[in-house]
Amino acid sequence: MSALLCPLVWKAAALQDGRLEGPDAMSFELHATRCADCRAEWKAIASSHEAARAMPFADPTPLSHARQRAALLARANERFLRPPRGWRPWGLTLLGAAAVAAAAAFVVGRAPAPLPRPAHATSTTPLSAPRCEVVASERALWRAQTDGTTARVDVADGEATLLVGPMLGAQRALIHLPDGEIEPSPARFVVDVALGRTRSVKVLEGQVVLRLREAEPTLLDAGDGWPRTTAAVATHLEGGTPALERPTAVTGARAAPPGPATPSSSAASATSGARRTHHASAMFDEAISSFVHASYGQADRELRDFIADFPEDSRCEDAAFLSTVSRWRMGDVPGARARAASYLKTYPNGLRRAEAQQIIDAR
Amino acid sequence: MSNARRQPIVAGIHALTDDELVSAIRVGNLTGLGTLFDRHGTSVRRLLLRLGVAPRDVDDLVQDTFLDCIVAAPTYQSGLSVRSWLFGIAVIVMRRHRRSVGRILQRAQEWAAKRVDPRVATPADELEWSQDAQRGQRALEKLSPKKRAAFVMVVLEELSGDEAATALGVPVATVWTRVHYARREMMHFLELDPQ
Repeated sequence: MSALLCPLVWKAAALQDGRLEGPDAMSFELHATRCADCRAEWKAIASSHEAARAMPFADPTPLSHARQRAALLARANERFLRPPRGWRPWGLTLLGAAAVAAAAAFVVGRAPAPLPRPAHATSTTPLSAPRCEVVASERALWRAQTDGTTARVDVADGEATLLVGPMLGAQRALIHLPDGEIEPSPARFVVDVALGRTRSVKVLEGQVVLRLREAEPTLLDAGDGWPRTTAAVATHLEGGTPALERPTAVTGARAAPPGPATPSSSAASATSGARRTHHASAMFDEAISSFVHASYGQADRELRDFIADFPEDSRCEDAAFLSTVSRWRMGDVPGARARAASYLKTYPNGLRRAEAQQIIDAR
Repeated sequence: MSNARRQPIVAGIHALTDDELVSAIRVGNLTGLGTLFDRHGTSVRRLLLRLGVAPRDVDDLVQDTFLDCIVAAPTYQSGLSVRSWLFGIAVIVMRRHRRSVGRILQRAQEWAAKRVDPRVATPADELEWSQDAQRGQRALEKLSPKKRAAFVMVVLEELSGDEAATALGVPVATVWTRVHYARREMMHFLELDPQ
């Protein structure tokens, strides 16, 4: 049996926990200077806390943190397309648990045996995908995967620097962008994507082919960048070559001083075309903005309007897919499936066909 | 349409408060999730290690915690500490992990093979693993999961009683009771108890 302790000894813990403040705390601290019980209690608590805190933790390195972050965002992105969780057959779950328990009992009963060597361990290693390293900015959304001898990287948003190593035989690397793709030879390059559009590509080493849906394929060497400089765009527009549909080109056309006199009908037609293109871009951007800010109902309406008003626009495929995603995110699964089916019918080789099929197959 | 309501998210997600980040995650902004991970990933990881999660599992559980926060975001009450809210999710994720059938099977295999030391195993860490730390760790392992969670949150992670209560989903008085008994058991195990 322990001896009688000071009745205020509980205040030592209260003070440690921050539950004792102001005059009460000061009063107890004064008391503890004279009371051996309270001093001993205070010291014991402090020592126990110190012992618990002494466990060393190796904080993740910046590289490890970056990997974890990328893996987290990739999983979060995949989860978005996962079918909603529904009814669970608990009977089957219990049956499965019983089977696992039986298997566990079997494993415990056996002495651990060395694992047999895989039969193919000594066979020739098949050609794998080429080395592809990605260093992405903090806000970037990207995913890397391999498909046989092809390394694929999807850059959905943000800026990323990619390094693609040498390739042999059938090895290939493809960088998927929301509005096209890049096929690099061994190269190091920076790509910047925002709001579903490729903003810029800059080749630091090697060579890449940039294929955007609304432009001819472009070969970019080390030191080259896309888009080209404003002067080049202006020259391009003033010449006889058809104008690009990109909003940057249109902006350049509007900012440029009026050119030499041309027949009024063709000038009016060009002005009308530029205005129409500008209107399409504004409408599309507005819809994308609604989508990014999770106003899915509004985004869906605006995207459908865009498709109806500009059926020939190269962004209609994006609009059709994003409209599908909007329905999905609104929880309208049948509507999303119908839109996905419509997308596949219109764009059987579309860039988003895999995701569209995934939505159709969702249970 | 006015762009006024859109300005904060477009302007710079990194400038948002934790509270605003959770709001961004609620509407499906994955960049917000990445930023929240940057801010709190390390402390969630440390919490899970202190709660007894094996180092080989901890990174998966940290990811699960942040993935679950997408689902939990609509229930987040604005104004609460996001760190303690994440801790609450981490505790739930850890409990689920321990209950999972896969874990049972894995443990059975480990028992059949050998006892696995849950400590960090690199030589540098071994050097740092002082005798006091080992005793402290063993004392923590003796606590029940509920007492351990309350002790770790209040004493080691320095949450307030109210924050720990919110994270654990129990009344604040229960938190203090658990911390009290956890502390007494720790002191008893460490042979520090003056009573």
